[in-house]
Amino acid sequence: MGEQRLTSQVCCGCACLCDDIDLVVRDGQVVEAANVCQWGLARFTGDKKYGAGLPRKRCRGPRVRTGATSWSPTHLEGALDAATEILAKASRVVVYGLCQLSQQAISALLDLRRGRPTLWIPSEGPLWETALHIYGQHPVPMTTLEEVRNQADFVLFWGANPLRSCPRLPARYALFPRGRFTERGQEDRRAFTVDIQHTEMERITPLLVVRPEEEPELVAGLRAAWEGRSDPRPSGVSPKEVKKVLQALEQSSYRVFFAGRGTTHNEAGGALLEELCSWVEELNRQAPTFFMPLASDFNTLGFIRQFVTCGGLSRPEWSLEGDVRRWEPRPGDVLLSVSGDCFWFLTEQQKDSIGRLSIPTVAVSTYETQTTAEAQVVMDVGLLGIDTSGDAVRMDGVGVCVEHIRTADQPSDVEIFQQWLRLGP
Amino acid sequence: MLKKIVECLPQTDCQMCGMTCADFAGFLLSGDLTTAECPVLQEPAYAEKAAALQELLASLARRAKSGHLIDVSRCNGCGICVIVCEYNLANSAACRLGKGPAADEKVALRVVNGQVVLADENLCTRLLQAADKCSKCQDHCPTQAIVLV
Repeated sequence: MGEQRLTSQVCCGCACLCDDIDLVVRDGQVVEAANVCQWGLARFTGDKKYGAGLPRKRCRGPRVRTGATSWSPTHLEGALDAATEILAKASRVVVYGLCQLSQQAISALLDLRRGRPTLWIPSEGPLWETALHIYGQHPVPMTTLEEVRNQADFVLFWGANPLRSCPRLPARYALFPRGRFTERGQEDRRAFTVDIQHTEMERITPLLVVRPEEEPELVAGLRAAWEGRSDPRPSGVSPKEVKKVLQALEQSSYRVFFAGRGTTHNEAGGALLEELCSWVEELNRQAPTFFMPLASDFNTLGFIRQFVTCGGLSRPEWSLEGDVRRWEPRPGDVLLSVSGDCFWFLTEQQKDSIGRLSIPTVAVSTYETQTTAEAQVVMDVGLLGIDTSGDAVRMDGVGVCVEHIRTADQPSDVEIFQQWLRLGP
Repeated sequence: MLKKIVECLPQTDCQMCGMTCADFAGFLLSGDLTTAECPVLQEPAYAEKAAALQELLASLARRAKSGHLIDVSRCNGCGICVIVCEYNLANSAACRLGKGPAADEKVALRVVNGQVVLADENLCTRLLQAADKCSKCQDHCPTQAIVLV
């Protein structure tokens, strides 16, 4: 195969979908990747995301369980037949993962489940479930990352650590680059981070540390002070810091609020995001102000968009659940895990219920995971952006075409679901 | 870095080397003196500190001419250093816009395999002008992977 030099490849490491990656591919393996962060590198090299250099074990071909510890290798058609048989007996299919599939695959999967009882649990669910609910209440606008780079002079990260979820976001768009109206880069921006703990963000932005239960109160306090209803004295944060935030806000002409997963990690998460969005809506009447949920899985917004577009929220046979830990397994359920390790996130109680109720699992996965170890049917799938091509949607809603970099034996996610669709229910 | 060296010294300010521990640390950092010139550090009671100091100074020996000491285990490849680097900003349109530089672009810093590397240390402002002219990569590094010594 020899050596190939590829430029401007798209990285599916996170929802930034960076498009400036230069790769050296030798015999189908990425041997050098330029302009890629650690998360992206793990994607390209097939290593563990949080353990640089530790390779992940790939699924080798489709297989069907024949006993407690025995498997029988099969071909894709055989695995699909077995999976179809399992799904046909289901009174409800619980689909987990979804946020790392291509748009085409999501579309085919939604078609596959049309008219059939399905519980959808996106892997990046909690934040987006709340955000979806809020979008129904407030006209909260989003903007593109390029516009953030070009115009944003006030950036607030709430419950977000982009250095962990989207490492290149501060450098590429949010804090440091120079844009059309931010010609001096960071000097033209005022940025703050609000979090419940000290993070690396405090080295690049002022960090306001607040107790989890006081977060909604802090937004309400900031809002009240902004409206001149009270002194800037929200609990937990010094008035001096609050004053700085309000001052920067007043001087700004284009504001972006990034909300991270941290906002949904406590019981008050819904109330916090509600208050935050309501404030953004109000601020937007004075100057452009945007609310951007910070997704980490690369096609989270792609799934949400596709789900909403095909009427997912209004279909009586479908329901959307943000947090997999809230799923209560019941007799007749079948778990379909696509591009995610569902069992990793389940509670012991849920795992017990799955065992007790003999809930079968079908896994579509690139790598061996806890879920593939528990599954009755496993289908291996090519990795988008490495083995297969497809479309994805960036965290700001911009569609991106992702090209493969090598020829793979594994089928693409869309091939699997389209073939499944042809087999019928 | 100076603080770390001082921490590895006896900190008795005994002046047996002719100066205070802080001043001695400065000379160790510049390479003008060696640990052997601190008599107190040779005592068995300070063996642990002496070993730590040796290790620290060995890591310093790996620093680039420009003074960059990069701890790759801390770097997450966020690329902030590449974007704020004065040379990169002045010479790469891609870097100004927050993108990573193309392979054929002449830049001082770039991210390769998820970690920052000195692509050409001779282009660093610290070498082109003066060491105190720029420390932006160190100042903005959120993980403290870059230390300038």
